Amino acid sequence: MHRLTLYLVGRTVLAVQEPTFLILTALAARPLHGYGIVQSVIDLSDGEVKLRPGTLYGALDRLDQQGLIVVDREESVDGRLRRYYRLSDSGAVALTEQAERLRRRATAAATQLGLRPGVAGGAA
Amino acid sequence: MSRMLLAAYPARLRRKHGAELIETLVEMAGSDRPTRAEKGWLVLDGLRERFRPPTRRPLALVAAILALLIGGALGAAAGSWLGTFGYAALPDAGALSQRVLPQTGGDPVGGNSDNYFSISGAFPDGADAKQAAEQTRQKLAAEGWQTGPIGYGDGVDGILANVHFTAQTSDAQLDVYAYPDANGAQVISLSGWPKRPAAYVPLTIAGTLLGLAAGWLIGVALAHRIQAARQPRRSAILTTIGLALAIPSAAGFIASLLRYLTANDPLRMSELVHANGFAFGPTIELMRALDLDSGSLLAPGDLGQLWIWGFALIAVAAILARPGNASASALTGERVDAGQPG
Repeated sequence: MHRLTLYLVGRTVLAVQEPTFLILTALAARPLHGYGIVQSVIDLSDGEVKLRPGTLYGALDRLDQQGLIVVDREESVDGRLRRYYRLSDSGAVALTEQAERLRRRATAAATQLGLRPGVAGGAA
Repeated sequence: MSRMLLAAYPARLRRKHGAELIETLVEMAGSDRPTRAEKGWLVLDGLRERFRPPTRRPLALVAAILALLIGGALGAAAGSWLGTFGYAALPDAGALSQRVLPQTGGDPVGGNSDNYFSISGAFPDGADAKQAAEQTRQKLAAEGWQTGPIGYGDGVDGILANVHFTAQTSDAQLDVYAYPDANGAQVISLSGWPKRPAAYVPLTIAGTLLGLAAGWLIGVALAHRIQAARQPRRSAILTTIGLALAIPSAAGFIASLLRYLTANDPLRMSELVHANGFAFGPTIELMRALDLDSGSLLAPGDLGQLWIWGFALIAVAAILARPGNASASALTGERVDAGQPG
């Protein structure tokens, strides 16, 4: 699992593992509660990343401390507590910057592959 | 049951996310009960969180590293002190001096301490120091001590001019010094200490490892607690002073321990790190080697006490670092985004 660094307007906010990046991604669209985040991360990672409760809440705690997520609301379902989290404004900025960085990396990789000799469309 | 699983987590995470952790565990298990493996991972993840220092807090990290090192040193002190319980019983100093020192009618001075003994008496006026030492050497040999050759000190090394030799049994070591002119008196002294038992080093290593782990865990827990405190500055300052007070004791003890473990035999009695029971500080021998034994700001005894004050300050810092509103605010959802660009 490779490490990623989250930036906020050029300032390092948090060095995170890929699961944490996926948690932010999951919360980008709408507020989710713990189990909702687990399911969303499975979908977003094509089934590769299955969070455990312990890693999920450890990550949520750090993201909350850095102000990247906030509690959206709490609901009681059949007497059970459900706490929904959402991306904060700074979390959205950090995720946008990170997504942009990853996009540039992916573009660079694709460009380099295109220059590979013997590949259609590449240099001869 | 869930309370037992959550016990693995630091208190702050338990307070903040305890109910959710169990809820999510149950939801992920679906209609089944959580498996043993899932519960095991929940506990392991909780233990891992206990080892994790606060993110993006370099000073907290420095404090946790210092706590790790001081904890390791204190663990080494505890382990090596346990090792001293394997020390052989030493002969009674008074009785031994009766048997092997010249009898001049005067009472010898000294006696047994926890892990060494030291006793000195006069030898007769006019008697030669070498002769006195040789007589004592023969009497010790007759009692079964293996004696070493007679040596001479001319007084230039900071020790009075003397005639000396060592003696040993399988589990004890003895130094004998005869001084022809100890401030006008003729004195012969015996000092003895036990040899290191086989369990000493393993116990010291085990203590060090446990101490490192405990030091890091306490340091990390305190760093989190101070970070979430209503008035973090007060506790941070107290912790800094506390760590600063404990460092000389820890460094002094470790340096002394290394001397004790690596010194060539015969080592001197003053190299013993726990000569008078548990000690956490430098030995007199280390202070001498560093030229700090006389006229320095702090005596070895002070360095052996400083850590107690340091730990007391850290304990006060921990008590004062009551959780503030910051950690509770996340639950209300009204939290202002921290780290928002200015």
